[in-house]
Amino acid sequence: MQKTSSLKIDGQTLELAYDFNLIAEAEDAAGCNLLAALENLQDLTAMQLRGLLFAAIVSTPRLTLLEAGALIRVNTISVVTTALADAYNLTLPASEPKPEPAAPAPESSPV
Amino acid sequence: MSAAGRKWRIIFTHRALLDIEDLTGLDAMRVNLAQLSARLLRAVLFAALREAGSEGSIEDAGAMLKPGAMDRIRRTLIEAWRASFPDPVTDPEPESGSPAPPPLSTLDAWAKARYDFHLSDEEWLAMTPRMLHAIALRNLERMRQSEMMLGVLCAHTVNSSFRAPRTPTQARSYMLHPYPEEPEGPVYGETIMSVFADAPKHKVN
Repeated sequence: MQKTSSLKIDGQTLELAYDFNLIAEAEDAAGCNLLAALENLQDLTAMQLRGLLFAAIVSTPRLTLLEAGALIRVNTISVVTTALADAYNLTLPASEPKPEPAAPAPESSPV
Repeated sequence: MSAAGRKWRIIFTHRALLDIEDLTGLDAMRVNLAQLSARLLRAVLFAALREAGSEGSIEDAGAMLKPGAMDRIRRTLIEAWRASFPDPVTDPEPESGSPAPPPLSTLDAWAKARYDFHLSDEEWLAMTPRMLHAIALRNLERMRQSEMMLGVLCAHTVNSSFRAPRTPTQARSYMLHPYPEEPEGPVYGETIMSVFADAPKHKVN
């Protein structure tokens, strides 16, 4: 059973999970290296964040890349990155030190 | 490598490299493992496991790449990759005068194995690029030995002929694949003495 974290956004609840197969398959659509993104969750580019979110959403019906990207806005970016980090941490073995979740972007920061 | 409850012997033969090419569309002989993407990492793991006897799918390989195990698996794959390829050339032969040629593509490697070394497809598929390189080096040495023998004969003929060149020609001048020249080392007193050691001694009155 896949462990999922919940992302409450825009009045809907999306289930996020880490699945390497989905990440590998999302790379073509995302147009960037998502493995590099996984290794550096604190310093994601916009394309990587959108790609990771697209790959992580396991709720049905699946969102498109553009729909996933539309969820990421200045006021939601911190919620999204935290939910992604939670989904990643859920798959870590209990003994593994958990990486710090991505630092939330300040609300007022320009994009 | 330990994964999925058992140990796997990871090796990248030409068969595994062709699997990677099929899955990714990349030339597996020229893949840069320092910049692995998720898609490439999954394909490399799948090809390696298949070569080791796994009957799992590429999705099974992807499922092994969990955060806790991914680094270890990737390190093992990179080590196996390095062990399967020839060591990088650090000092290209000086007489070439041009940068080192790019690595062979799988098609070039297959053609070389078939045409130059007369290997069967199966023999080639079961070999790693490092093994093929070792055969290529051995073949080069054999060619050099033959050329050296012919070069000695040519040089002797030219040097002992009428109108012989003032500076005797060397056997390597007649070789298509000359031995690389040894770099000149520092000159010490012992070096000079050893040169004069064989010189005929004359009594000085």
